[in-house]
Amino acid sequence: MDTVIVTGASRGIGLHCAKQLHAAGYRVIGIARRFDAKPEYDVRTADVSDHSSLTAALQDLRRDRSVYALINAAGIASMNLLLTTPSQTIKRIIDTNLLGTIYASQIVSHALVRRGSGRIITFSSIAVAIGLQGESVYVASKAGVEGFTRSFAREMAPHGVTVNAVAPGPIDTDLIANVPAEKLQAIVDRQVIPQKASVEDVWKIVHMLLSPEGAMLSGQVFHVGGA
Amino acid sequence: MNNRDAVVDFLLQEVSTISGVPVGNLSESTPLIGGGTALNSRGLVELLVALEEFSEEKLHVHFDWTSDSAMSSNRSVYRTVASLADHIASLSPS
Repeated sequence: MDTVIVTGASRGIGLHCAKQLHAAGYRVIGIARRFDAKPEYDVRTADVSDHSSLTAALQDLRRDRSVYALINAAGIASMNLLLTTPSQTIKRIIDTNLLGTIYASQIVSHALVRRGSGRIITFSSIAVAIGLQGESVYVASKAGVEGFTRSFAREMAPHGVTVNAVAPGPIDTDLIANVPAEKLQAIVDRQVIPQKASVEDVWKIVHMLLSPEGAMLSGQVFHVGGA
Repeated sequence: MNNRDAVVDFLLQEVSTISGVPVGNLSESTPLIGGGTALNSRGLVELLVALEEFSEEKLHVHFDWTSDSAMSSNRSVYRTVASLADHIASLSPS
């Protein structure tokens, strides 16, 4: 049974993907700082922005050739003008979104290289493509993720591992719970398909990338809804 | 045979297998990175995967590819077969 590791698995896109992966027959290992409920699959607590914490949580998988994929769904946002954003918030966003993705990808890649095949999926956002006002730090972190994805895809291609980013528009999750509805609609209106996507729409792209049909797709950013 | 000699023998054999260069044409001064190396980036990763397993199973030491001491740019342990063997031999049994 193939193993898929999902960060940010306690809520939002990560939780939905973890549930769907479990239902699809994968062995799922969910990673999050905390879990409010114990799901049917394996969960482990770790902070993706803490390399030591993440390494300890995944230590037993380093040489596990059943590890097939990593889904980097852990992410945070804070909608603020940069001029009013505390430095600690800036650091927390970059650490979680960008460094967390890099750390998890590095750690899990040891197993994927041994296996000689696999998938790494990262998450960006429509906010990068449209340069969303009031999200400059978040956009910086996600633009970093896109650059990392393109470059790391080339490093991992010789090992049979694809690396791609999924970039949704606004999705109804905790991440945007405090963003005013009219602001969200204005973003949706800028998508190629001007309707709000769901976590299920995101899962369908993730599922496609995990499938054999995704074998020749790497270093790409897939915009859910178009951007 | 001490640990360092065992690592040197292992590295020479692995580099030969991965690169196709005969063992007789390799030595402790064979570069693993930079100009003159017989390994591409994929080959280097394959070598490190094999070395990690060899180190843990045969020598009972944990080899962390990404430790600060291993990655120092001026004196990277990956420079040559000899420098990498010296690094592994310096690690304490786990």
